[in-house]
Amino acid sequence: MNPVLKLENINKKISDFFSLRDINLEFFKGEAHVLIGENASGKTSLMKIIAGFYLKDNGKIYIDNKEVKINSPADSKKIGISMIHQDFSLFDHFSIAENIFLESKKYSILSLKIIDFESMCSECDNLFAKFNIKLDSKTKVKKLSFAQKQLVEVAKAYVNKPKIIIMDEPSSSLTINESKILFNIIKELKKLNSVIIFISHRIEDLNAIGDRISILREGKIIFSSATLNLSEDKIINLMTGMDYSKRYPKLNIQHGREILRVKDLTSGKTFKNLNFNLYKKEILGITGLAGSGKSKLARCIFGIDKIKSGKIYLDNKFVNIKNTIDSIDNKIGYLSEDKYKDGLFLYLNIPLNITAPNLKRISNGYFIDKSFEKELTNTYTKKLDIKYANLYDNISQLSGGNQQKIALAKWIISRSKILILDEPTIGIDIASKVDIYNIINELVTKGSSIILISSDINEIIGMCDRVLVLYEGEISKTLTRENLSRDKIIKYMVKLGDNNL
Amino acid sequence: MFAAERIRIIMEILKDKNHINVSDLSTMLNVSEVTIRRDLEKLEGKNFLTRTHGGAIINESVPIDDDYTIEDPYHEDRVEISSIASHMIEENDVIILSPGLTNLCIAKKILTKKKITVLTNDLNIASELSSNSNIKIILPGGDLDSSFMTLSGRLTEENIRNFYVSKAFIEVDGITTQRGYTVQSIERASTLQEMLKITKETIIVSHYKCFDKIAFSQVADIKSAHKIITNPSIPDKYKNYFFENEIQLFTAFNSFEGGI
Amino acid sequence: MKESINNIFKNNLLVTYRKLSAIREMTVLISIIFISIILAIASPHFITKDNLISTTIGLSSDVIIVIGVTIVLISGGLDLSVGSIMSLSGITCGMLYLYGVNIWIACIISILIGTSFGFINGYFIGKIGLNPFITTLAIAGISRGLSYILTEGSPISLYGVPKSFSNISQSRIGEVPIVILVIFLVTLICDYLLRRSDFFRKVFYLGSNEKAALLSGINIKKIKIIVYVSCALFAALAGVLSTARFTVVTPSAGIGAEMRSISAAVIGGASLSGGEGTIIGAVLGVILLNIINNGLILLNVPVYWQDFVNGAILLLAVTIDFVNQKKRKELH
Repeated sequence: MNPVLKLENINKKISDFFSLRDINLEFFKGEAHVLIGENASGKTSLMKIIAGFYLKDNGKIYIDNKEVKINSPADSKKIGISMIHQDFSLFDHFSIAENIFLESKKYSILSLKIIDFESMCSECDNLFAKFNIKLDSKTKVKKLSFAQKQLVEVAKAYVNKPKIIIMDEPSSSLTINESKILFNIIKELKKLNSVIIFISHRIEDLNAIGDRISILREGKIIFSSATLNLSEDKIINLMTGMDYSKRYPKLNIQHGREILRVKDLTSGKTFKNLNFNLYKKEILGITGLAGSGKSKLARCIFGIDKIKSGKIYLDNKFVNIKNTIDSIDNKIGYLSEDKYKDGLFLYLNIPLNITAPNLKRISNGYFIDKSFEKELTNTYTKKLDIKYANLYDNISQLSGGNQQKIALAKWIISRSKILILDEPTIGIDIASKVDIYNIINELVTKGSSIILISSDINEIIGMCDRVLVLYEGEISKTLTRENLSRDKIIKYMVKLGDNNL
Repeated sequence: MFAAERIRIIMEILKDKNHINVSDLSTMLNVSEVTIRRDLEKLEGKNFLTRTHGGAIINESVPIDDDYTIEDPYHEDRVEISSIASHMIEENDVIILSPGLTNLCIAKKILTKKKITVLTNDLNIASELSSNSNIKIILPGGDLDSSFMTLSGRLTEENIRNFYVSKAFIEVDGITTQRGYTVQSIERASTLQEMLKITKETIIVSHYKCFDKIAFSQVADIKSAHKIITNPSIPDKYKNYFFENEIQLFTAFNSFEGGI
Repeated sequence: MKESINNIFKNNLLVTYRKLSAIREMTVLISIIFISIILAIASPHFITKDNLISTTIGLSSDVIIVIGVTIVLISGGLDLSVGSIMSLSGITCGMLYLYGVNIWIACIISILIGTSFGFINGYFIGKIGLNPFITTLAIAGISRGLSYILTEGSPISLYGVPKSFSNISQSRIGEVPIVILVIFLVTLICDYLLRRSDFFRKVFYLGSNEKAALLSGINIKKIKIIVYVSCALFAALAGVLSTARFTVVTPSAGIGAEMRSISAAVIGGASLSGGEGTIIGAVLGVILLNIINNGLILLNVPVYWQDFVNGAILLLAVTIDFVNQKKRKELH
């Protein structure tokens, strides 16, 4: 059988530390090809190349054995490729039916731009009945929930009968029932000989609809097969890579008294009734798949996102953390997952960045002591080995690793007792990674406690004293350093439980 | 910038140019003129220079010698290394401390610990540790090098072979990827090699300036270490290398201010 | 070791070079001198004592307004209500006086009224979270409307206003009007505050990256309110000052002040995306714009061309700012 779509040696540099390398893949008609990988493994970037949103650096794309050039989304649409994004392409102010039949032009009467609304709606209702979608075709799209919009997108794709349809994490927000509907539509699409490319990090999806699986890790295809006799933990092992946890500079430090206790913490939908504590001088790891609620948890403790119920105790005293001002006053520090968007002031210089949460230390309440500010900056850029050409350049000119160290310096200077680090080493160079682990060590020896949130299992095993594994907003297991292993973490990440160990 | 480092730079400039003025130094080093004057006073006290109006000139009598130091310029770095090392030493450990100033700092740091056995061929370390009766000190026999107060030679090596330790803190003078770990003398290298044979875990200690330097005699290949303790400002390539080769790299610094 | 010493020297040279070339104020100052020379050659009236003094007095209210507008721009906001607030506070001052209130008390009350409109701006933008463009546009409409309602559309003369009040803009030390000295001083103080004060540091953080400012524990809502309040305070001051100067209040005062002040601030180095700007730069921007306007008058260009030219300059300044921002982002 000839592949409908063939990728040959696709390369694309995404950032200084991440690129897609030598991607070779074949997609066949009537098959659902599931693309699995961790966050930031390159799944979405690869699909954006096929859909024309990114230009590849080199390599070739073949459709039906003929090489094609895809330079824009329009090129890809012409070929018959349609991509359903995590962010939608629906028109909020139009009805569901109008959105679904927008591109088919079936109901445009003559060349007048008039639409036969009634017959369009009745066909739409038929379609919904066929797939058991309980929505009224005349409803405006803006009234739909995230998951419902997703179904409308898929229905729209079905109507347009694309040659190739790319679905980016469609199942992540759906209920079981909605997922069933989605899988039914996919089965119908298979009958129509479409190629379905299904991006996911959920292994259940694979069993439900997949005919073929490819696993991406660090921008490379590390596994591709048609056989589906793969066990879940084998797949996760492939997804996350080898055991490299011995290279982390871990110091064994006796932990002290309880410094933080979280009781019945609930945040709307993401997680509920979380209970855990943190000791002085402890590195507590929190890991889980995307959507397990680990980042949201950090944002709630630091007071960025509102909590619905639950209490936070510091040093055995209840504290009401309403916002970031409260948490900083309570000596909590936080390094956000997306440092560019909300962690740093990219267009301000190094001293201004380093002193942002520390104004109280460098000013008398009215004026800033510039020489003290400079002294602090000089000291810490040296201590943390932050490399720069000029202290007063915008930090946008520094490398990602140095920027991350600046973000950390802020909280060292503010002498945070609890430091929450959300994916502190993602996307940065190795040397800076090593520096960051050593900074963590130094802070712990000086009495701070660290909450290290990471999806890098090696990092979690390498650095943490205790690990909470989250699964869909619940703590599925707490593991101590003595019984920490890659296999265990993986099993609890997908909640297989003790019986399967 | 740290006082020790500032003084180092001032000495370098003076050796190079023979004279220097205060305001140049203050802009160059980003510190106030008062601070510079204080540094110059310190150096004058050590007979290194003579202060003049607005500056200083080097004393002709000072032998221009790279090894000339008023005090150990890396003392702070060594103290920081030793505090990381002390976290690696637990009760009931049997360890080796090889000769060197950094290991001497480690000895000072572990004075408060109990039930530790230390095998060392450095008499300074032994005498430092002897103030705590809870630490058992084992000295091998051998030839005494009186300038460093260390023991070496055939007798030392034979003695060492009688033991087995859990951790060996080996201080070296040079680290490169090609030549591995190196020290200044053949005798020391061969004693250290014996030590490596009888330890479960090899921990290399060395301040940052030793990186990218090759000393006279090789002790071991770079991959033979389990852990390295040094300071943050080593070249990035070593951070990459150790991480990728499964060797734990500890870079010690003090996150509290001080030292300014 | 020698290498590191050389590096330190090299870095210092680089710093000096960059400092000189990067100072936006320098470029604006050179433009001012350049245009002045051209005008001096083209018109014999330009370098006369009377023209220089009347131009500088003329730009005094613009200078006061631009200080507030620059602060708002640095915070990443926008204020289109300064002209209307200026006119409203001038009018309330004049009306209160005509109703028999002591002129100085009238000044204070009118400044408070103007400032309270700034508080409304700040409340809606900071606390409720409305878009600054729309909010200040609405407040501009409301306050301008109030001006017309109070005056029924016509200018009102303040007869018999105390000499001490009308002298504010006329008394001089030697040849230099006191107003100019005061404004010069205010500029320097504000510039110093902008560089050194704790509060303005927070304004820079807010303008540079609001989310990061939030994560740094900065009270964003409070800062926004203070920023708009101080902007309105400066506008109200300008209104009172021009009342003293003309002893006439008119509901059409301050029309176009928003445009001029935003152009001036952007010319002086402020950015519409926030986080950048200096007071001295903005004030130099005002001087540049006023010299250009003065030149148009001296060269007998019909007065109606002024808005055209001002608009064109704003478009140019904003385009240059946009291109710079874009370049910076691409670099990143």
